[in-house]
Amino acid sequence: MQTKDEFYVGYQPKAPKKYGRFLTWFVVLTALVLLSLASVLVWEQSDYANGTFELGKLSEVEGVLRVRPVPMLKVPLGKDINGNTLYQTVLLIDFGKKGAEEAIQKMEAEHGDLMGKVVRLEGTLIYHDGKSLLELTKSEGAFISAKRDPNMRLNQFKELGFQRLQGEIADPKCYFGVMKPGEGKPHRSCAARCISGGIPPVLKTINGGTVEYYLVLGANGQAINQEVLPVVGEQIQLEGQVEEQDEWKILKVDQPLKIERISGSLLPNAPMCTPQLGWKE
Amino acid sequence: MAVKYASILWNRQKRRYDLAMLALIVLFLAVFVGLQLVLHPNITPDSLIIRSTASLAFTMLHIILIIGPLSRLDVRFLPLLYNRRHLGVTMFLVSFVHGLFSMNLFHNFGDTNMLVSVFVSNPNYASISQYPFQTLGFLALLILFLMAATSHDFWLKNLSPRIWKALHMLVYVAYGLIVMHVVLGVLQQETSPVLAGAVGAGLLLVVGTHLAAAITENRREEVHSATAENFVKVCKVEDIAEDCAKVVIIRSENIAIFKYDGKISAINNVCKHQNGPLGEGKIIDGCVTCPWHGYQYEPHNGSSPPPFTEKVTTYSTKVEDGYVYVNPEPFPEGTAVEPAIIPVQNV
Ligand code: HEM
Ligand code: FES
Repeated sequence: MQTKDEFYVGYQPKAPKKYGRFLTWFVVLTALVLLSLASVLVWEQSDYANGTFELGKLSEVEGVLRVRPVPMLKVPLGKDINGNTLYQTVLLIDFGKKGAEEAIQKMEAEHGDLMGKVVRLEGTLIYHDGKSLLELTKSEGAFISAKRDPNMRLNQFKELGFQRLQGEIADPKCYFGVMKPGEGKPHRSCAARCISGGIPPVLKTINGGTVEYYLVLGANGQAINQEVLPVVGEQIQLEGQVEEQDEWKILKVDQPLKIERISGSLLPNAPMCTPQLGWKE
Repeated sequence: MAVKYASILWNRQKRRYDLAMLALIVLFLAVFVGLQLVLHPNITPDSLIIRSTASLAFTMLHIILIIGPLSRLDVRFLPLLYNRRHLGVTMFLVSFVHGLFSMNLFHNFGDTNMLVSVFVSNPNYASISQYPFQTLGFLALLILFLMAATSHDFWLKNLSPRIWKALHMLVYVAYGLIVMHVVLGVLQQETSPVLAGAVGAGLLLVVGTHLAAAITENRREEVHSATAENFVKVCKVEDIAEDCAKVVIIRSENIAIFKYDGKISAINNVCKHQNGPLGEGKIIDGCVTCPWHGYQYEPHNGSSPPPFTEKVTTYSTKVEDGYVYVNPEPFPEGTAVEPAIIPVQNV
């Protein structure tokens, strides 16, 4: 049983020795537990993708602008050994969780039709896994100049035919670098916000370790962002006609829309390190 | 009333408490952030802030929750209980940073108001694996905010201890919400069994310490045979240490029986401040002193000495043949009762 001098009341300036020693040990023990816990928590989490968002750094990028169906800029990167020009097609999106359509409409209102013109834009680069995006950080203020250049033209889309694809719908902005993790359950609500805000949805498929990305559009090339919202971040199956323009594939989903949920996580998070043409990563 | 708040002053003990708390927080964050940058250099600053503050706040909540039962199991933990509110308010601030950054990153700059987006961007409320776990974190944060905002004794007074206590019991609801927030959220993505195991171990720790404390306390609830005049035999006089108490629960009356100055007095065991166990306190300067925050009561009438106004119920006692008896029929709070005198041969 305790004796009088061992009893401690919180308002006393100094705890009795017995308490002091005990609590010192307790604090030391807690420190060790916290140390191990923090280490284990970090050690056990999966690695982040190595996408890059050049936050705070504005870059000027010039290329041929495609306004429809999805705003993109086809940028010459240099020449290969045969003297052919190499291109990288950069997906355009707005600041925040918003597609680039509105900003480009405003640019066109001021500078005339821009489809197919060589346009110089300023923004923040996002790149990962061979894909590049440009965030129009200043929205329509990203416009610097536009000119016509007969030597630089948009490609025709290549038809790749009907395909049935399984994967997860992600928003490309976060997925390719703005957020980590930029996919999966915790990120789901954000992806929904982005896609709802007009950022084109991307279907990420994994096939024997190879990752492919498909911009998802309706059968007539119209945006179907609202239709795919309920299944963002889930494993699903979609089917339709696939087209390709440079390194972006487009899945024009058959109408009426058939989305099948696939139960369980069929698709493991494959490591993504397929270096392709692109900004230095 | 001003006198009352002044009675709990900023002292050396409190400063050391806060310093130890801050040092441990810094240690946790330094290890967490440092290791992230080494092992996962690709992490974005947002994710670093979101994850480090979340892990810290969740860990702190465990410590906050186990301090109570630990100090019931071993009085040497009591200094941790006192001043626990600093731990609580700090924990709220840390989780607030997590919540704010999460909402800003995941829900702001979109086509919907940030707060609305938390609730509508993922509509799968009917699903378990797809459940919008952010909403659970949001509700927990709301509870933590209410508790942090009312943590001062001013609110204890103005809300009445019963309501205040009920409000602060919501911490268990918040804990449950956060466990689900983690299980349905990040654990759906981070599938390492070690992480799930850590959450489970934390839950076991919280439940285990509470059960252990409850079991130890229940042992005290021995059944006592009632004798004439409703007096119940409790124990031998020498079973109670000088200036200390024996706690008994008779017919759901929680009674602390004190021995002091050759006398025996019994008062209700539950402190008016925050339901602290008076029977685990001591008589200091002639007053029963609550072990939790030091509220004092005179043993013969259960009243705080002036200018304070707290009162607990009192009970009549007697000593016969070296045994202590108590009548579990309570007198109204603050009623003066003649202490039983211990015959000289029993002192
Ligand atoms: C407005 C309220 C909240 C929101 C919007 C929110 C949102 C989130 C999000 C999006 C994640 C996943 C982040 C990731 O993938 O790393 C997360 C994880 C987590 N949250 Fe919250 N949360 C909120 C409140 C809370 C509160 C009050 C706590 C209390 C401690 C908490 C504890 C955690 C923990 C421990 C994790 C797992 C670690 C992590 O992934 O960061 N959250 N929360
Ligand atoms: S509970 Fe705070 S002094 Fe008793």
